[in-house]
Amino acid sequence: MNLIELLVAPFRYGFMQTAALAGILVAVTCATLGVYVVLRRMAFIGDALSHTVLPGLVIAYLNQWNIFGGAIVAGVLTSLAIGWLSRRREVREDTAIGILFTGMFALGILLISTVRSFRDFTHMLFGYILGVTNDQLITIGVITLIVIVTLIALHKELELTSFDSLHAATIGLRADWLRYVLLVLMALAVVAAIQAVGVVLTSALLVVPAAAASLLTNRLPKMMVLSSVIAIASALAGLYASYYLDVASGASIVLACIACFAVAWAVRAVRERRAGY
Amino acid sequence: MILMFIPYDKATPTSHTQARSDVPALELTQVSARYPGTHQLALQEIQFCVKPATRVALVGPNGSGKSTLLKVAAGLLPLVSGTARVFGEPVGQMHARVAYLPQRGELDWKFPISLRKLVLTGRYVHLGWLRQPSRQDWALADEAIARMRLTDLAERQISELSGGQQQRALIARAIAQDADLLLLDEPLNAVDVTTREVVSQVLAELQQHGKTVLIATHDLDHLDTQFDAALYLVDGRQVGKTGC
Repeated sequence: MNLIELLVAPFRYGFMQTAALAGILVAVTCATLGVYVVLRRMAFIGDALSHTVLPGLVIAYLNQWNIFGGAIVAGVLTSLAIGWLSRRREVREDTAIGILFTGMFALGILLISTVRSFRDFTHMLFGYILGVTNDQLITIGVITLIVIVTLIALHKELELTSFDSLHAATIGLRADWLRYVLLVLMALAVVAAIQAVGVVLTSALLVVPAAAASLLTNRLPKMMVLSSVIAIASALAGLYASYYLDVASGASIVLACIACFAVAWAVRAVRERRAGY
Repeated sequence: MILMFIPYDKATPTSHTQARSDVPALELTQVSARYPGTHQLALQEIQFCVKPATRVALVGPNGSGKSTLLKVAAGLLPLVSGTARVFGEPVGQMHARVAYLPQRGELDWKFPISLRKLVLTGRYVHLGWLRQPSRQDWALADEAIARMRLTDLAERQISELSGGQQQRALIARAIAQDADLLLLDEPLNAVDVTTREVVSQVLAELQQHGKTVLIATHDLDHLDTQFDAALYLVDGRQVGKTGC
């Protein structure tokens, strides 16, 4: 079998085509949003959000509702609760995140423990991109559209509040509103990503491609494009690994992201050495 | 496609009305203020007035309330008591006419953005939500950059600028904004000679064009020659009176 056949063979199956499309959409969503997550130092909140949607997923599953709907409600409520808890500064934001993160995740585990079979929930915890249905693909597509359109429409405001919230406040631009918008978008992105890599690893898609891109360029639009390219490449690499090596798809995608980060780190180190830093 | 102007703050009239000479640029009446989450007043009963088209210094030791007063004037800090007006309107309602230049440490200078884009953000208050900068906005930003003698560095990342260049970039942003009241927090602290010269010259020109400049400074040597008035602060209280 030659290289072209190796690359094409997995996609003769419909479920692999669906998985690839889902992977690309999730990659673009998380990677573009992830640039703001990294630059605004919100990696911890990204990790927390991915864990706090668990009770929403479980409650929706137990009641036979749309599990994406349950996750979206839990994610958005968590985003708003973090913003509300930390808004008056009696509780620091990282403390608020820590409380909600562990509380909601514990609630999710508790709800899972009420069900006899733990196996039903392993796909939620660790992801199963090969099992994405057409309905889920549509939901992921809608989330991608919402995130990208919002990022484009609010680009100048998000950019300004990311580096100079005082100027933003002086001109009447509410940085806290923009933060809520960003948190809600993150909640949506997390919901999309959970199907691919699961609750436990979702924050990796939000953080790692963007962190790798930030090592290679210091131009924001270029960083977003590069981050998306890295995330898409990682998603496809993860799918190939899953297909040919029969390993977990979610973990493969995340490890591919980490490998890209390592390459970006090395490229940066070589560049700096050449530049004489 | 031309989008309708949607201001960031609905209370904000962004059209530039001509500054009336009889209305103070800034008027504080018995103003007390404190930072959120604290109990101690950072400013106490300040009675202060700044005439339009003047240059006024805020002087005092570290922690005396200079930065706090500028933040009150910029509408960034709520008042505990008293009233604060900018060009006759309550603070926080004249966003387009007020430019606040914080101390350099209050910005994230590592953020990946060019000097030119930083200066362009001065135009955002005139654009509001959704509208993108026009060619004219870019041209005004370039003009302001040239005025601060930064044209050669326009495409450079802000992280690569020296402290003095960063300070000039912030003043260029205030010029691009076409603000009538500039609030500068220690702009000449630890900057190079070129920056000192350019800033002094440009501030004098702005004053000639009717702009009002309020500067927090430690530099007591040039108070008589470079400023029309000065307010002395100690422990959040004023020493003496400064009226219009």
